[in-house]
Order: sequence, then structure tokens, then C-alpha cells
Amino acid sequence: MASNVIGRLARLSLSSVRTDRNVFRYSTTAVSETSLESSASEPVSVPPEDASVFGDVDSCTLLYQDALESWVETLKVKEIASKVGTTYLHPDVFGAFPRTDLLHWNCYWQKMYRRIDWGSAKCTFEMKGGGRKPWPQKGMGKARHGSIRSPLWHKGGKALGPRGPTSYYFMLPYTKRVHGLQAALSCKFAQNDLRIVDSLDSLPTDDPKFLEDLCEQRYWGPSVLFVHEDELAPRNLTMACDSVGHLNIMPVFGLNVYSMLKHETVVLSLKSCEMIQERIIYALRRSDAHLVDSKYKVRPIIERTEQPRPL
Amino acid sequence: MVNLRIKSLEVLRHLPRVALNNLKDVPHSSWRKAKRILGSRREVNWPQKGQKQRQQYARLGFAGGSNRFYLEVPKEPYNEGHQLRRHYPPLSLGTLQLMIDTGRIDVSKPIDLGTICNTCLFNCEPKDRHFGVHLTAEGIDKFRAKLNIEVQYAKEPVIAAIERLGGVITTAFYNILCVEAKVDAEKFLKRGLPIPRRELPPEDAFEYYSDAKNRGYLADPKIIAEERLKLSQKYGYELPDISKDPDFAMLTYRKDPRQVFDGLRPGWLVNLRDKIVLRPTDPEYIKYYES
Repeated sequence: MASNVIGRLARLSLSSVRTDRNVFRYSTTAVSETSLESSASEPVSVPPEDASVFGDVDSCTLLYQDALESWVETLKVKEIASKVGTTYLHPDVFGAFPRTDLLHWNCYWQKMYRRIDWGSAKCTFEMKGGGRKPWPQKGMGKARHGSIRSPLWHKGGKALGPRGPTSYYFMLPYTKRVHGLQAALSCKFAQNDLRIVDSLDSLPTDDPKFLEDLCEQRYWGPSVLFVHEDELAPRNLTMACDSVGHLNIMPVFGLNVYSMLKHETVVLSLKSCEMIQERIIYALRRSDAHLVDSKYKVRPIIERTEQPRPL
Repeated sequence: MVNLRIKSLEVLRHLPRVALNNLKDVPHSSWRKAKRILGSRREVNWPQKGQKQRQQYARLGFAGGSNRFYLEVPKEPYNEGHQLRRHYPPLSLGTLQLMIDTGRIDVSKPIDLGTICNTCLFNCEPKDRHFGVHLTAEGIDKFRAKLNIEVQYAKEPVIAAIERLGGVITTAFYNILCVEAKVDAEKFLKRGLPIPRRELPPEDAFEYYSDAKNRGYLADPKIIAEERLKLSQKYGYELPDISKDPDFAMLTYRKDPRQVFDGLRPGWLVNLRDKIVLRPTDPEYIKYYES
């Protein structure tokens, strides 16, 4: 872990000379060729001669938007120069507007829907005893009281206290969940925190040290999330990640906004990238999206401590 | 012009990593939790003494004295009784063409209200007294499909546009229970009700649906054929001969005036779970649904 932190610090100082950024081409007019330029002083990742192009351009090209491009790496070697080709990405999935407010709502929902507030306090009538009038109404020179468990009394019941277990369950609307995933993938891709590898099977050993060195040499952060297409990840990767807390594996169907933002780098295999694209495009294009929410109409409980400031 | 999407993604490259620690909602996007009322809600909100009870506003339309402003200002109640009238939400020919081009509607089969509602792109609410679809002429110039369509309301140019391309249009009436069944057939069949018998149009709509000029479903087919020819002469196009068309059977298909679903007769009961259709055997029952 310590070595990774040092690696992170070293990376911060090195960030100006990093050249292994993804190919950013959000439109034909705004081509940023700087990522491909190289000079003698900088460490350069040069794609090999036999670099291949994965995926289909036409399926990722829209009428007014070009397909995005990304490097495809491999886990066979530790070195940063491990590019095996490029792939095309759909601009609606990986190049959408970064709606950080939807990211906030998705994270809030993921935290809150499973929260149960177990806080509970007994009221006057649930307390033990207190049925007898402690002293007569008149003639004692003392204040009048009817029960020793009144909220005014020490060891009395609680007035307006928390009542029993409270559920904070609510369901975020379907479109907000879809657009949250879209925004998270787009933010990760724009900040070069989304890496695509040919396959997670290509890891040669089950040694955790190898994988940690690999992540450090490629400037993937201390925390990395590997997204596998299937629920059973390859044996080498599973064994390597098992003893390291900050390297995690997740199947495609478990991918969520909170986990993506919790980890610094998200590593997708080519197949899982395709599956994610297909699922999100389907969810964005379906015309019956408004019918999905009909089952879950639960309003969120929002506790605000202060009034939102004026715009 | 700046493309905000591209620019924001470019800016994001030079900003700190988007992570759990720097997420924020846009201000005023959510509501505040309601203020907790201490004591009885009735006494707090509607007190029986004090300023809150005694302050009162004049009723709407009261302008002082004994005058009411709505007696002075002339009224033009165009929308009076709108909740009781029949509404036909519009669907333009351009939208219909788009649905066909994007593969949401199959023109090789007869099209009716159910087909249009199944695209989920047309909103028909029977509870708001929407009685079906009104096919409008918008986008008439780019319409180029040959189809057999049944709508609830259409005007002359729309009829001409469809017939010029060798298509067939019919205007048909559905009562509100049948509209409900057509709009969401699965939901209706899950209720376990027998398929209803389509009622005849009400008195004020009977003339429209029995007129051959409107291609009403109650009009005589022979007169409709004459009217098709007349309309083609009026608009100056050559009427394609449907009898020589390879899709003759599809183009001339029509539901019975009492029928709601294709291939199913009124009175039948559909069991979706066991995938069987139950037909009535009681003669009295059969007679009721066949009348």
C-alpha cells in the first residue's frame, strides 16, 4: 500500500509528462493530437507494428458525432508500453455530458436505499411504572405531577423521540440510474481513468506483487476495479486480487456508479466494454422507459440541515 | 458555437478526479423536508382564534360591491365541458412515417389503435376520455407508405394522401372500455374480463362513422369505392387499383364493427397463463355477444 501511495505522489509530479493518455477525439473539429505527439525526453508508449483495431466504427458513429477511440492494453507485461491496438467507443456511453449532479444522486441512492435507522426511544407510556400519582395535587407546596415517567422528569419518557426502525428506502428513477452510469463512464474516460484491456485472462501469474507493480508502473491508482464479463473471473486475477484490498473485481451486471467513483481506475475487458455499451444504448433508446418506474414510486427522505443558498 | 458537451469533457481533463469526495447536487433541485408540526395539525393550521382565523381574502371574482367581474367581462367558453367531450389526441403523418422508417410499425400488417399504442410513442389515456387517434396532415409531403390503417378521426387531405399511394384508411369508433383494452391489451386481459363487444357510435358521432366520405366503418363499401374515385379526381391523382395489388388480402382486411381484437371475438376469454382461449357455450350468452 505504502509503495502505491508513493507511486501516486510520484505520478502527481510526473503528470505533466504523461503521454499514455487515451486518444481523445470528441469531434472532428476538436481533435487533440497532443496525446499522440512524442519527443525524445518523454517516456512514450508506442503501439506495436501489428497493432489491430477492435470493434466496429459504424456501430459507434452517430450522425453528428464521431466514434471515440481508446487504446487496448494487455496484462501480459508490467510495462506501460503494452498497447495491442485501439477500439472504438460509442459517444453516447463514454462521451456524454458529465452530469455530476446525477452522480451525486446515484451515490446518495446507493447509500440510502439500504439504510435502516434503528434509533428508538420509549415514550411516557412505554416506560415501566409511573402509573401512580407521585404526590397529591394540593397541599404539598410542590409542583403538580401525575406520573414519575413524564418527559419533564429525570428517567422519564422521551417526548417526540425517534420511533422505532425507520427505512430510508427509495428508488431512483430508471432514467436517472441509466444517465448516472453514462455520466460515470464519461467522467472516467475523460479523465483517463478508464482503461480497456484485451482480456482479463491475459494476466500471466497469480502473484499479487506482479499485479501491484503493473498497476503502479502504468499509473493506475492504488485502487483499481477490474470489470469482467462473466460472474466467474479468471483464476490468476482472482488469486492476485484476493489478498490486496484495493484491487477489486466486479462482473458487468454488478457495475454501479458508487464503485466506479470509489476506485481510481476502472479496467474493462474488451468484451465487458461491448456488453456495457450494448446495455446502456438499449436503455437509452427504449421507448417504454417511463413504464419501468411504475412499480417503484417511493419518495426519498431527504434530511437537509440548512436551506439551500440562493442561486 | 460552443459545444457544451465537448467543452465540459475537455475541461474535465484538467480538473481533479471526479470521486466520492467532490460530488454535489445542483442547488434547489430537491425539496426540503416538511416542517414538523408540534401539536394538533388542525389547531396549528386552522386556528379558531387570532389573526390567522380573522384574516380572509375576498372570493375569486369579487370586485367589491355586488358586481362580479365575470358578469362584466364577456365569456367565450370554448372549452366548456371538455371533460365530457370525446378527445382524439393527434398523430401526424410525419410521425407515422418516422415510426415506419424506424421499424416500430410493420406496414405488412393492418394497423390500428393497438399497433400505434404499442410503440409507446403515442399517448392515449382512456381515463382522460381519449377515444383514439386523430391522424393529422403534418408531414403530408414526405409520407410515402402503403398501408391499411384504421384511425378514429381523419380529414380529407389525409385520406387522399393515403389512398394516392395505394393504401386504405378506415375511421372506426371504439367505446371507452374498448379503447382501454386496445391501449394496453395485456393489462386488460390480465383483469380476467371477457373481450367486450364494441358498441355502436353515440348519436352525435353516428353520422360521421356511417359517411363514406369519411371512410366510416359503417358506410356501404360500394359507396366508399365511388368516393375513393371522386376524391382522386378532386385532388388530381390516379387511383391505384387495389384488386391487382399483391397485398390485396391485407389491404382489404377489416374488423367486424363489433370486434375489438383481430382473430378474437367478443365474449371470448383469454387465459394468458395457460395460453388458452375460452369460448362461451351458453346460447343466451352467445346471442348477447353476437347481436
